[in-house]
Amino acid sequence: MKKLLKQTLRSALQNCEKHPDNREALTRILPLAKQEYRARAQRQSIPFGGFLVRQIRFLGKRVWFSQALLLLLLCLLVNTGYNIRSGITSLTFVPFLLGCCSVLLLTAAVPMLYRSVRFQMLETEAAARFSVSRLLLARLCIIGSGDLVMLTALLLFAIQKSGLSAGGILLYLLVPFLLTASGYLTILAHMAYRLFPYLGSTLSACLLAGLYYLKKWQPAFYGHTFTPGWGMICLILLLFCMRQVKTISRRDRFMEGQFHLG
Amino acid sequence: MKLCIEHLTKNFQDKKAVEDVSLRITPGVWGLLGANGAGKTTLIRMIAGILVPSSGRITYDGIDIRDLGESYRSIFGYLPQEFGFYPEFTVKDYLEYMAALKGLSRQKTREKIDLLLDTLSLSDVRKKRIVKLSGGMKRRVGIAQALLNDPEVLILDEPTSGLDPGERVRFRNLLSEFAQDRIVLISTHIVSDVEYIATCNAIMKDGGITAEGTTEELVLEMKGRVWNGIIPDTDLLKYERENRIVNLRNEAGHKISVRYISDEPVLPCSVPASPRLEDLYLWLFPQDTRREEDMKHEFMES
Repeated sequence: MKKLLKQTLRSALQNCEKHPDNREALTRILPLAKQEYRARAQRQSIPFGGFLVRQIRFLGKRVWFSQALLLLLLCLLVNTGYNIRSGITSLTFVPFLLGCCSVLLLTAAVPMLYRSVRFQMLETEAAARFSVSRLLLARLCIIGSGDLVMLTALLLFAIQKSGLSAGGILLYLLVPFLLTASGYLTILAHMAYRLFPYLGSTLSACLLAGLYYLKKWQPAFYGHTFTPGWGMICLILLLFCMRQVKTISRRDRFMEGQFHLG
Repeated sequence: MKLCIEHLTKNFQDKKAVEDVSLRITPGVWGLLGANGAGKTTLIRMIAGILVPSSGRITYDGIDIRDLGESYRSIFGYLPQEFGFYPEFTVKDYLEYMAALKGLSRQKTREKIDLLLDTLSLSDVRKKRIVKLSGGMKRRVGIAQALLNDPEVLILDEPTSGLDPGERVRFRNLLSEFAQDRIVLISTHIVSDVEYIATCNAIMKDGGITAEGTTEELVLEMKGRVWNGIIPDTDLLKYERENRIVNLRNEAGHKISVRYISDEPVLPCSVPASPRLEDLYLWLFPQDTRREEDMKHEFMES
């Protein structure tokens, strides 16, 4: 029992003997008692951080293992690409390859983000306390942390392997990654959830096609390095992504369009 | 503790799945009865807060459930009509996963899982992958997850689907015990699921509530409409086509005892029978008896 309530109750009971008709004490006790009742009525629950940690057991191992495998494949791809195209042509080919890798990094996350629908778990999850929005947020955190490690590993590998500048490699990893992430998060935040795998895959395909187009017809695009201008673009994309994540965490309409009449 | 549904409507493109439904649900077991396509599941999903109504609102203790948000979902337990499992999950994994989603601490999770596995006779299969279990066991696992957070409001959509008669009885007893000081809403088209344990029932048809009341009040509507008659077995097909027959039983001497629904006695040797909730259901949804009869005729004519 809260200290204030206890003290008020004690003094009221003591006064009661002397002034049995005094209702002023009751007026002071009642709101405190209601407040105490409401506080006790609210159920204890783990915070979002605790929930996120527990998701690592169910999702993290699977996601990070897949990402590690993908990273191995991508490093092999970059290594092979560099070996095939050495010299001048590697100056456009390797950045192109890195751009494709960063898009593919995120594309690989699509099945994981859509798991609930694939295995008919969505309805059960939606009715739980943390619901679909928070579950998605947890999944994004787990996938995002893995992606960060993978991007860093790719960056270090590419710097070590190719003769390109770190700024150039960072640019062609970061910008396509942030563009893809912005697209995916916008779809999750605003579109029907059932459309996510189709729209996400289409977006990835379009970005890959765009990177190829630039390599074929505008190869000079791959001669840039990481300038303050590009840094500003990356910052804007990052802020946009954060805003979409905030929208996702508050979204409550993941179930619309999932059902037939019933 | 009161769940109020006020003028709830849900439209899907050009069809009204739920139309102007209002209910006041108080602690106890409530049955929500109706044929397939009546709108029960859509109504249930709106009560669960996973579908947004086109109009109307649902309040819990006077507060809109959309405003309550997480607080409502924390006191809510839900078993959908159709649900799946991640293929790698064992029974224990699944319940731990759902417990985390419901915000339960690890200590509470362990205690509840042990208790529920024991209560629902799932202890032997706790480490078995759910995809390898029988349909009835999967349903029991689903019921277990709905009860994990000791919900004050428990909604079950076709909960006994796939359960054998013994399991159904155990399940009904479990619910009866659980429903003291809680709201339990069972949506079903199997009348016997709720007939003996529901304090109140609502019957849905074409998106609206056609009847509402205690089992005794609803059954009273069928007084004077339920009859027992005896017919020769050779006349069965003829009477089946013309009347709404609920039950048949073979008797000695090539006779059949027939329980049927009619405003007046129309079969030979008819005497009034005590009405049941099932009779009201079949009175309101005659297509359910007709479909069965059509199938029987097709079988016999072939």
